[in-house]
Amino acid sequence: MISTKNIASLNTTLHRVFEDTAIEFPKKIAVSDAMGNTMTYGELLVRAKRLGSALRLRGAERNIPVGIVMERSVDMLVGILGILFSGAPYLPLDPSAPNSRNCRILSLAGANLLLTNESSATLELTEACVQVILEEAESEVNIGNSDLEYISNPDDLAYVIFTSGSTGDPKGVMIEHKSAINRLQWMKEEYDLVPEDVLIQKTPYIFDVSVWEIFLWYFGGASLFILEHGYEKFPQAIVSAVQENKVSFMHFIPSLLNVFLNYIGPPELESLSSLKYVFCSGESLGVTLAEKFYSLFTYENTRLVNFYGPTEATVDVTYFNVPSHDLGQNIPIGRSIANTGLHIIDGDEVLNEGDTGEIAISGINLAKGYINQPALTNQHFVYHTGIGKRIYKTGDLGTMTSDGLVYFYGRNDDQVKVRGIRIELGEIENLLLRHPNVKECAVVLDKKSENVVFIVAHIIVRENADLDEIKNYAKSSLPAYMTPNRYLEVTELPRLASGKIDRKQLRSSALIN
Amino acid sequence: MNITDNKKMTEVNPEINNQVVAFISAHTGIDEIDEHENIFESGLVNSLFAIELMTFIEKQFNIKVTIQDLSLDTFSTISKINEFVTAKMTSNV
Repeated sequence: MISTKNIASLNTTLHRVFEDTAIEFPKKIAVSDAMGNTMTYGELLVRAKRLGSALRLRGAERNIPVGIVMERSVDMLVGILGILFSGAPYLPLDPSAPNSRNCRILSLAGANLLLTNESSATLELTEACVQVILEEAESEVNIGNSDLEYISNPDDLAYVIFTSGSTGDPKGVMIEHKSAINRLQWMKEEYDLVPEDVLIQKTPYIFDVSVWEIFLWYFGGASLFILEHGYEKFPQAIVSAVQENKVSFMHFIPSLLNVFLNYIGPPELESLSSLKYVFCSGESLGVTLAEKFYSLFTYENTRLVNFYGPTEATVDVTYFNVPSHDLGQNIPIGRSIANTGLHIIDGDEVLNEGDTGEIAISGINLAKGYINQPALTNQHFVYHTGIGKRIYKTGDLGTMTSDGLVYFYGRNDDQVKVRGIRIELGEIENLLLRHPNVKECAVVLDKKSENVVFIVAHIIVRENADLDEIKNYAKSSLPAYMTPNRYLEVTELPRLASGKIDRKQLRSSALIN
Repeated sequence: MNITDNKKMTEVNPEINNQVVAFISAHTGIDEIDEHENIFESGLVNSLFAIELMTFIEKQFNIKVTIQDLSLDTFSTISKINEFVTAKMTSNV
């Protein structure tokens, strides 16, 4: 089931849409942050194009990613738009991730430039990648911006976002401008984005939910508030940001929404009255949470929306506008967005309505593939003869009703979600196995409570090995959200009759320990 | 550390430490928490659990954390949370 509309309007790029809007509303406030920095559309356009020129002079080109390492800030937004104006796709890197991981990602992506600012830490780069400091690039007086020619096309890459990969290295998902434009145009129309709207950017830019938080606002001439780095930990900061800036669109992963709703009482609810939509994605949205939401917010004023989609299909591919009544047993992930198809398959077979199988996606939102990994790309992005289209096989299980509503039923492999972040436990295992003193290992999740989940590594070490050294190695190689919280030295790993590691038994033994 | 800080340290209420530690332990299954350990950096308190912890602190000690009070440092260790709560409770009286 594919809905098609606005194919013609997709023939553009993310930065071109920004420039068109900036020319229409040059004096309007585009972006602000908690430190009191504000910028108009006109000012942001000038800065972004200037930076774009400077990056192009340094060798930025179409389809070669330019890395960016910055804390969430107005500079970060200038940096991302600047990279796009240079013609290159942006590749966001986590400022708190170990140096070795960020360098590995830059090298896997074949990035030739890395944009930082004066407050970012310096990375020890290889010769193939040159560091550009935002302040220095912007201060060059001899660069004009009026004549910055557009070099990227709708088919060129807009961004490359890395997600966990089971082989031990993360994999870079390549998204084209036309896919991002489709996702954003659709959302703008479905939720009637208007110039009075305000969006809040609080998701780390290394996760693709941030894509609509970073770009959607200008599709409707609206504005953006950027939540200061670290303040997403404080419910008070979120409430205050919404109140002060009259935020109308906000995202939460369901587990975060749940604890946030537990925090808010009548005064906070009053402060949140500007919210029109709360969008959830990243995890299953439960009926209890939806009921809790509507026991606080009224449907007429603030609505709850459930999104679903993998990074490989540009942020989200299904949506369900959650009603306030008659929620049933499960909340569906909903129907496909514009120019996108959802299919339930079992290998080569397309399943019937009501059958459970693997969720496959077709249409314009599909990624170009994994950067510099043609074999992996061909494994996950395939031409399906039954559907007659190129599809992405998600590894998610689901079912579709006769009227096109899709329900999500979990995974068919070892991929897990920790607070909405997708993690391949195999990536952690394979990384540990690269350490000379790790003989065997198995990594499992230990769910202490609904909201506290630990990553536990069971390791068989070689003789005279120092576990602390292995811990330090993991810490210096993995981002914090993937680093094991606990290490257990074991002499053997439980195995099933098939020889596979018995993860179920490991999970229960983790509980005892 | 200056003299004022030292003075503050001696005034902290051990009962507050116990209650905060008990809350964190109950949710994480970890009993021994160093009161000077940075609970954000050690991975003990992620952004989701941080929201629960802030909710607990406001309700348990009947205080209101304002936007002016917020900084990552203020809530980074059990000992600092204790200082903050003690100061806040004193100013409420």
